[in-house]
Amino acid sequence: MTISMIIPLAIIVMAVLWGVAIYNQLVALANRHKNAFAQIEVQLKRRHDLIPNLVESAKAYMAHERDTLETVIAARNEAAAALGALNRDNLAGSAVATLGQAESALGSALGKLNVVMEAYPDLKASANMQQLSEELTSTENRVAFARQGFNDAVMGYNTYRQSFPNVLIAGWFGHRSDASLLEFADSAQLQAAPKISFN
Amino acid sequence: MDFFREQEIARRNSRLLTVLFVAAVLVLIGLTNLLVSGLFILDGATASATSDVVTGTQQWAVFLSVGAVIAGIIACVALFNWLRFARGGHHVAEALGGRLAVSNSNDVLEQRAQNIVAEMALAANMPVPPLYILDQERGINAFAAGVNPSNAVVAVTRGALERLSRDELQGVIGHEFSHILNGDMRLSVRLAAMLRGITFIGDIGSVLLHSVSYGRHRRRQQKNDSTAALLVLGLGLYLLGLLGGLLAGLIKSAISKQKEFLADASAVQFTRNPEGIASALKVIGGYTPGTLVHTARAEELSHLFFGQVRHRLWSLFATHPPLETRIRRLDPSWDGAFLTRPSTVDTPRSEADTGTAAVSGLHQAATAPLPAIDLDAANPKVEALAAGTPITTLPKVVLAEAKEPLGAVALMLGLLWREAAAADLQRILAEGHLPGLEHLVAQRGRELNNLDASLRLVLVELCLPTLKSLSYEQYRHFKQLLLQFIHADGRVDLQEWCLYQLTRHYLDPAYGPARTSKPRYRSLAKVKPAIEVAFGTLAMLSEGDTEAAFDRGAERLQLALTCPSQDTLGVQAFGQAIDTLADCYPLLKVTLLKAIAEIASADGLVSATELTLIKAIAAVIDCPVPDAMLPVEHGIANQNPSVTAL
Repeated sequence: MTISMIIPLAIIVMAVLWGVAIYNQLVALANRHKNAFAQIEVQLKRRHDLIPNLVESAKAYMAHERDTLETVIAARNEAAAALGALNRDNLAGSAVATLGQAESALGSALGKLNVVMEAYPDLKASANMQQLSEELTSTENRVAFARQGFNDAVMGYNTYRQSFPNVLIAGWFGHRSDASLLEFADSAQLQAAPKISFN
Repeated sequence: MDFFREQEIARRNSRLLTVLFVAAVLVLIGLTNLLVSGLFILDGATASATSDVVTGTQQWAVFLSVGAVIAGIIACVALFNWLRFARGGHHVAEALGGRLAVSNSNDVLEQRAQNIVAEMALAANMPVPPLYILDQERGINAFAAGVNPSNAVVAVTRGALERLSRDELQGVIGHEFSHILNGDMRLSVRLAAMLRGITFIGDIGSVLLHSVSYGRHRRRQQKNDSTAALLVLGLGLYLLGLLGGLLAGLIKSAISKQKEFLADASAVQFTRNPEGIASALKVIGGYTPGTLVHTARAEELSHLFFGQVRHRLWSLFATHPPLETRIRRLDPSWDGAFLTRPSTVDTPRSEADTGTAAVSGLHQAATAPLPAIDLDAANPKVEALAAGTPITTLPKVVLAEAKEPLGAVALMLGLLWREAAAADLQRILAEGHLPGLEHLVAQRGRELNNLDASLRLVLVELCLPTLKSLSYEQYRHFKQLLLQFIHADGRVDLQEWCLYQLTRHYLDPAYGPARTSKPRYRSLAKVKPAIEVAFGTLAMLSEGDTEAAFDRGAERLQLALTCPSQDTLGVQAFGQAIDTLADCYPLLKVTLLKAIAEIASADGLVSATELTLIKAIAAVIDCPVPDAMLPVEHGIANQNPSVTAL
């Protein structure tokens, strides 16, 4: 085999290896942002699971505030149902908007509960309640961070896909369009964490 | 601050510096080579001046071989150091006096820190690393350890928990996540290993210098030529090692500083809150102990931490950029004033609150009788535990203890308690290396004697995850105690075998490389005797017809098996049989387990003993079964709503 044959062969091998590397990276990034979306659902579900505990703890102290507690539970159930109805393959549909509304209703119900709880010093001082309050803060943060993580992952994928020379071949591998960032219709409302403070 | 741009700059700088570092190492190898081979060639030339002339090719050969030897020495030393440091993160955290945070801690601060770690893991799109707490450290600091994300851990000092607000701690932990994500630990361990290789050259030089000066006293004036050559060689190596080490050390510390800037910028990316981490740095600036960490080994791992662990006289060699510079990058409008922050914990934490709390708490619990609280009832009623009555739900105290490492140890040992051998067991406990157990194990042991068999399994399954937070030493002692307990009465029964196997197979992998089974048998026909023993033992436990149960298993495998006679069966034979079956090919194991489940359900009901046995077998042959796969009557799987409700 002569040099004139080896060189083109080496170039072809390099090009193939390079293409494989780009393909693998695209797959990794695409999977990462899909996983990040799943994380948002997980965290919303976590929030829904936490609320019955909160209400249960509050119930012992505030027997007269049945209405408030029932509103919270109802809002929670609605949000949980909306989350369950979410179609994972079609994220742009109206289900997302429904979920957004249900989540913000839940947020305001929790806010109301918090105001009511201010009138019960025993409740505020209870160690159980303090732990729940920390849990709630963390859950709100987790929902927010899960969204942010999703958007960061989408950005990473899009940037990689659009970079030169990846953009030339990404289309061949089926990565034709950018992934879309997460934007809820009423994002401002949705982002607001229910202000629960026991101070 | 534009954190994406800052990250880009820091990444580029550290890449350039890494190239520089490698270049410096190569130049140093070249110089050393020149020195050594120059001396060799000179020596050769003078020695053989009369005979043949040293040719050019010979000089090259000397040069290359000396180069290979030097590079080899550096590589060996570097590899040795790499292996020493590149262990899983939990080794590092434990060496620095860290304690694994428990998932259901009553300490609000600890719980908060764990929540923050989970939040940051979401923001960084990576798995949640375990959190360690350095209880003894008053300084505000944190570190990440482990050379890749899967074995990484995060640790914070007690000072950081108490002095920082939630947002600030979030910034600090976000910073540590960046170190994990960017592979900074791997890089810095590699650089440190290479640095050690370079300074090793200097060490050789100084050893040579010493030996020469020592030799001169002994036999003066003898062989003056070679002594002089050795002296030059030693001095040269010593200087090269010193200078090289200095230069490489400088570059390494510059890389480390770039990595800190990168981590600060990433912390902002994860939290989207530059004030959080900036104000954490300001609090550190206004806090007298600062970021100092006192554990002996902190120095050599200083690059892992959030802030400088020791004072440095010469900031060029510091692993971290000055606080002021870091704050200015995060908060350009900073007025230069640090924050002073009183501890969020008002009263100084007593000794009982930290390390020894578990032990003393358990002592108290042990002296009080164990109330059985029925969790199903709306109003918990307290009953005295009468001897002889079977316990049908796990008492609340036991549930709480199962979530605490020392309590879980006591419960596991309590499950093996035999009143007949009480004196022996007490002696074993007294000689054991886990203090604070004597009373508790006996107490729980007597109470758990009447525990329903299905609840025993539930309790074991509750305890096992908790036991993962034992340190390596503690686990070793625990396992030793477990074995001594099992052998105390001179024989091993099936229940003991199950408990030991479940423990071993669940926990051993967490404490070092576990023995993995090597698939050896491709067909079940090859392990027929082992299958016969295993099936025979199970069939014996069946309440119905032993033969019929055995035949059902054989039918399932479509093998002609003969049920062994009862007196040949024993725990030892059974254990050996299962060990043999563990070496089957993976798919065969599934078939085996299905057949075993068939035998267990032959009498229409899977008893708790059978269920325990199936789980233990599954653990030994390394083929875990989900509960749903087992043909369990719902009565057993869900018999204990109080546990699932937790």
